[in-house]
Amino acid sequence: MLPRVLRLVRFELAKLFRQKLPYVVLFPIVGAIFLVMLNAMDVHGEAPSNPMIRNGFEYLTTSCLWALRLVSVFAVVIASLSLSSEASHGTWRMMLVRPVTRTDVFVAKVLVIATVVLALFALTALASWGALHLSHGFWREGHYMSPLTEGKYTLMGEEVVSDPLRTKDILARDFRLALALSLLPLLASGCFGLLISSMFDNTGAAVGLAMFFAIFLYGFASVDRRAGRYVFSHSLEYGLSVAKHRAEGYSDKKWEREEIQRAWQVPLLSGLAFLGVAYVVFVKRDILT
Amino acid sequence: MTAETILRTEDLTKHFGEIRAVDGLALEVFRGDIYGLLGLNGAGKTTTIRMLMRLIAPTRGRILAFGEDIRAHQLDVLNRIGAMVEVPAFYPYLTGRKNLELLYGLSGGRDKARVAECLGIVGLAERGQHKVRTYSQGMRQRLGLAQALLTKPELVVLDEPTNGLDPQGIHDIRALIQRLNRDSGVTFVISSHLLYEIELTCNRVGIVHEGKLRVQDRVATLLASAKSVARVKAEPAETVRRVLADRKIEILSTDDGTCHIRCAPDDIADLAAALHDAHCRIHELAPGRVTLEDFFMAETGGNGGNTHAA
Repeated sequence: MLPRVLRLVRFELAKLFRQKLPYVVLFPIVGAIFLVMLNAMDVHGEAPSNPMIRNGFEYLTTSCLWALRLVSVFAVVIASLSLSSEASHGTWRMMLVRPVTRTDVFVAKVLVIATVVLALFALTALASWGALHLSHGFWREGHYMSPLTEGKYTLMGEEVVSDPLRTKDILARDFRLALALSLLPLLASGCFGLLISSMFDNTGAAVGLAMFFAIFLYGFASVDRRAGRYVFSHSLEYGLSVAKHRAEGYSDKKWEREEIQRAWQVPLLSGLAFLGVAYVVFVKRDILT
Repeated sequence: MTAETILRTEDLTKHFGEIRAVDGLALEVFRGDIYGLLGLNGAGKTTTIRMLMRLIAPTRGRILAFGEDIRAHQLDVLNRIGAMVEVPAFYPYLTGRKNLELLYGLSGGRDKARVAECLGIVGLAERGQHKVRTYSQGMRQRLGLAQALLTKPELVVLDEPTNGLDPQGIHDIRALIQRLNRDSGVTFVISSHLLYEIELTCNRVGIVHEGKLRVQDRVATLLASAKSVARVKAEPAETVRRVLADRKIEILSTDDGTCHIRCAPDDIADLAAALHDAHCRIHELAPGRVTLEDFFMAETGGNGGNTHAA
């Protein structure tokens, strides 16, 4: 099976990189990151050591959050296109008459979607980190962090640290945890798109419905925060918003073990459920287009 | 010596809800055949081909290819089959050559020379570097045929292979199929509406009507089994009808004073004499031949009287 799947992955990637969509996607993601950073520079002037300026980590988490929201949108779009576009173009008739099984095809599609999501995720992290240093200075400890009060850094609203290097380490650790927690919701978004894609032969219907449900669930999670915690994409916001608030130093928002567990369990279980249903639908359905 | 069965369906059935698209089909294709699958629109030809290629699952029955159940040995079987199902669809943003390279890659093929060879075989060597979105329907059809031949398959299944081709293209594809069959021993299963093409190209046919197999035999055997036909134009018409009735000759159809009749070539001279004796003025009395189209129409309940003068 592995050689067939690898051949299919190569096939899918070759197709993907010959389309415009992956390149178009890069502009808004990187653009969002730099816009947030530029905004930080423009609004607050050129003196990052000013105590009134929120520190660079806050901007880092904010820009990442915006960029990853876009990545989640593109994950849904790309995934919802993956099966439906083959049906829509009629290319299943060329692909599935080759010596490959539908399981091979499905696994390859999942791997390619995961690769794309991971690549966009890595790009977001790198671009955010790069933008942080562009806007707040390169590796000069303390420069891109500003004390709220003279010589003191407040984290979590209660922990006061006077050592800027230690503060930086703590915030960097927060940022890494936040990023890690946002990866699974992105992958779950891809799985959700794949599920919708498996049900439709029309790309417009698949993308439209996937986006509609994704936005609806996002809105639902914002309105009903209690139930919203069980929405697969919700935890994309959780980690980065906690890290942002901790970096801000004003809020008493803390990391909570239960929330962290939910933040990876919900998207993991949702993603697996989406994949399972999508697989059964894809394998069982008749290819009539 | 008994010919080896390369493809056989047993009780092959497909229901779409209440609709019985294919009903208990029992096809048998021998190695070396060019097998024509004939049927009206909606007769179940494409559904049958889709089941052969595992694009849709049969409701009942099984398919044996190379003696093996296609469900249990899907990969082995598909390795030995090339197919073009309905109108070929390619990735429009890729060139014809790249499309073939990618599809060939799925079968484990990497030889770019083979891709170039297949493009040459179907007459697309010059256009291989252009994107498929710039291709005409006929060119896509040729590209579809090229992709079916990439792996040098033993069995090629083609659904309406001459769709959208100009007369030269139809001739070329027919010649190609016959050459591959003759020189390389490739077995073909072809579904088509173009009965004349099937008659010219295929050695065996199966006629499918309303999901059921009506007839399956060698083309020559089917045509030989039908009575010969002739065309007679004479007057007065009443006398002509009486003479034909007296001689128990069936009138298949009448067209602008010309009667298409069932009449063996050996009986033409006797009929001419009888018409002369009845004082008929004979304008035309020509032997004809039964075509596959006549046979098809008769089997599917269509207008079975169209004959072609020899």
